[in-house]
Amino acid sequence: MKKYILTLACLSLFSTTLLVTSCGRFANKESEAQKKDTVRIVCVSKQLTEILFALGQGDKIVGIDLSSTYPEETKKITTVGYHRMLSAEGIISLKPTAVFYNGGADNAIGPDNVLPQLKQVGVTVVQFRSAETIDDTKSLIQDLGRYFNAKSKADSLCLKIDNDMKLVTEKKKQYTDIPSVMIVHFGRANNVYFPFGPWGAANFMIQQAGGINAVDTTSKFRMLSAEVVAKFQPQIIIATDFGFDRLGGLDKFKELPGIALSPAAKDNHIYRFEEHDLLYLGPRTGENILKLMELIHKK
Amino acid sequence: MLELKNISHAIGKHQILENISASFEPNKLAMIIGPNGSGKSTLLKIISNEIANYTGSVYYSNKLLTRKDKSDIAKIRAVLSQESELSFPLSVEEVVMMGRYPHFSLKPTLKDISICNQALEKMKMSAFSDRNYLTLSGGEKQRVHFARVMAQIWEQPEDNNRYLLLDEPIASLDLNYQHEFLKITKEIAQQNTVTIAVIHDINLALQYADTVLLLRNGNIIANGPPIEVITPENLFNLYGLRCRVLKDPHSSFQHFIVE
Amino acid sequence: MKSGNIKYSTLYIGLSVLLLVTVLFAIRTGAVNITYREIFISMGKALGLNPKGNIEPIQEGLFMQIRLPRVLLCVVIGAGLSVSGALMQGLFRNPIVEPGLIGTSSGAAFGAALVFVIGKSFFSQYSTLLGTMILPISAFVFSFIATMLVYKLSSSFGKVTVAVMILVGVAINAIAASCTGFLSYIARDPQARSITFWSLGTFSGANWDSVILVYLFTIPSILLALRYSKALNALLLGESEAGYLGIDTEKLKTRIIIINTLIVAIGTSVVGVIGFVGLIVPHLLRMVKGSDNRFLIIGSGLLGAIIMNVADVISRSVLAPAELPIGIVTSFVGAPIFIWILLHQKGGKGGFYA
Repeated sequence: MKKYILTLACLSLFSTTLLVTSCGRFANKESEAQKKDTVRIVCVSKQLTEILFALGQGDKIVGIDLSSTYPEETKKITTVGYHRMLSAEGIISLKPTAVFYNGGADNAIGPDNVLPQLKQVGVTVVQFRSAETIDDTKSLIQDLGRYFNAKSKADSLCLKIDNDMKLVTEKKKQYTDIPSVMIVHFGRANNVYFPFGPWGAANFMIQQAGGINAVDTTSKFRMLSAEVVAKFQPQIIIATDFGFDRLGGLDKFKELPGIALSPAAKDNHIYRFEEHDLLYLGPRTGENILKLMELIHKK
Repeated sequence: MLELKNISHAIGKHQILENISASFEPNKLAMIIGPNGSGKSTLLKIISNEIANYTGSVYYSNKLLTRKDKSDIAKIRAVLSQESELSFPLSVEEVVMMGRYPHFSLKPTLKDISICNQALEKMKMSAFSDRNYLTLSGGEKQRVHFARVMAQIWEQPEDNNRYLLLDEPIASLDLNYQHEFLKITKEIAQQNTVTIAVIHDINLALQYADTVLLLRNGNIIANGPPIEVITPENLFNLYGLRCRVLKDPHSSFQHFIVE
Repeated sequence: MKSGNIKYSTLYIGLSVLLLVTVLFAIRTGAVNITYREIFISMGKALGLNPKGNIEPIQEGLFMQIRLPRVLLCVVIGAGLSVSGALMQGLFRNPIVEPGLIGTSSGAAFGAALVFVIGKSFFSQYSTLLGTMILPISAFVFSFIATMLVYKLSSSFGKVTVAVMILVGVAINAIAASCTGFLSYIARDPQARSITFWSLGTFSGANWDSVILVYLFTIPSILLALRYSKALNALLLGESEAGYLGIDTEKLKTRIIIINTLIVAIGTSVVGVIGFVGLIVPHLLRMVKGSDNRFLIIGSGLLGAIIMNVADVISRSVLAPAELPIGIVTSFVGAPIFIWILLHQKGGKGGFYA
């Protein structure tokens, strides 16, 4: 009897594999059915994905990374996994004509071998700039516009950004106070918080909205204990969607240790914000700053 | 010939063996007898090269035993312990083959296989050769190990004796196999083998031993033929027990009973 | 166990055939499927022949640059981890020992984390060779330090006993794990993520460099281990008995630990931590045909390679085109098998499996 265990174990593994791979095949047939001569983009950067859609090129995207969640249409696109845990095979299986990425600090591609593997196999890999200022963002939009021969569309997006930013500057004038704002990512995980430090897109947006980042640490520590969060005494707390929803809304959120001691909790100035509206700059950044401005000056 | 010269061994301040000198000759079955804690097993471990930090010297055929001799000495000297720790599934054949390990480097030769079979036959365990060792009874396991030990020193070395050391080997055997076992041991001893067994049963010693060494508190009390050594006086000295000798009217056997 | 039923040679041939089938299957299967024709043409081209027929360059690249190195890496790491499991179980005379128990894995994990956090940019500027070698070297060094520390500390009581060694192992593991935890706390985001993913293991980064590196160390180590199979068998009887059979047990232990550290650290530095394979594979073999270490080492090499490939096919297919870390697959499949083995063996007679 016992000598069959080995055989049994192997067989069960094999059958699982067969089951699993037959599913994989099904997915491939679908993609093979599409025409070969069309442009097929795998985009593993949320910033690029949003701009591509804004440029009207969203239908050319056949694969995105997990963090690309805007616009709504992204939900229908195959994901190739987390951008730090990509698989070259998976990307190749989508038969892309090009793979887009921009290697910013927040958008690192991993494992290290994936991009070299793709290039070795002959997949076109295109790196775009990582835009962390409004000017860079406009240049990025122009770069992508040139890539797709959509200059007029790119121009109008840049114009929109300029107009939005002008509006931001004007509206900011009406507020005399400068509230201190803390943006908490993921809520509270493993007894620590992930607030955004004084760098990056979110910090820029707080400043533009007429606030100041409550987290003024200069070190690169990203995880802060409840005590440190309380010490920063934010007047406003912005919680990103995932953490806010997971904890079950405002009432639960304001009872968290550390946060409960902040003026924001006492005055109920804790607001939910979409994560993908804060993490990177894009065509809607101006709009989002205006939204943020209203929230943080609401009294 | 095996010689011990001025062997002493201490663990901390506790003296286990004190200045032991003795010699053991081939073709004779020697037995070591003594109460618990008298140093019998320690002495056997020193002879078998397991304990190294003793003073004095051990000579195998006039050659001083050193720490480095391990693999050479294993070809002519075998040791059977009280019980083995083996708790993994192995076939009886594989366990017996371990006795041949000192003799081949990677794979057993035909000669090694044939010796294992003969050793198994000698212990009447041939039918068990494919059995899982773990499924055997305590007595069967001990017989397998005896076969292994015999296989280890099966061949007569050309210019040397064989050495067989047994540490309370018959404790787990039934009456029948105790005698069977000692008969085979005696037979091996008589084939140019220096044989030393630590044993508890005085009557078995009287029946099978050629020489008996009595050990108490790390000292030799007596060493010589069993009839001379195993006396009521010595036994009182050894265990503090009063014994009587009974003579078997049909043979020359003596038996001791405790009063 | 009825150990006389199947011959060793039959088992070896059976496992080899199964391995060949699995390798072919693994080469063909994934997010993209590769046909035999494509494999044939690619191999022909690689060997400098001029095979007839055309092949899409992407398919050829996929096969030569991604799939083939990946499958070959699976073979050698599956074999290595399983052999190291067999060696450790033999050395400790305990069938539930794994490299994680005596500091080997946690030391390697710390060594790798150190490179992730402070090392990589610092070293890669010198040369590419040192840049690629620094991770395995660091993993090996710390793995070795941790293992030797366990070994030396436990031998400071005189003879090395298994119980003391395992207790010291618990302590050293705790130290190494807390150091790794500290690193991932002070690490910036991408580095901390690397540590996390590395601890789950993946073959997706396989390339020819890593294949060559791992083969270069693992295959000689396995062959060397085979030389000690006899001594390991004797050790099953206990340390004294092994000594009576002419084996220098202290030397044996040191050598086996070095071989084991080499296999585990090099493999782990390339693909991350992959659990349960080293534990399960020797177990299965022992149930089929006993504990002869020669058989366990050869068998573990073959069966480990098979199982690792199957696990990797699952890991790259189940979420295709995304990919699951293989450590999740091996633990998910391995842990229940392990429990099942324990329960199943309860009715049997004798030994550790009782």
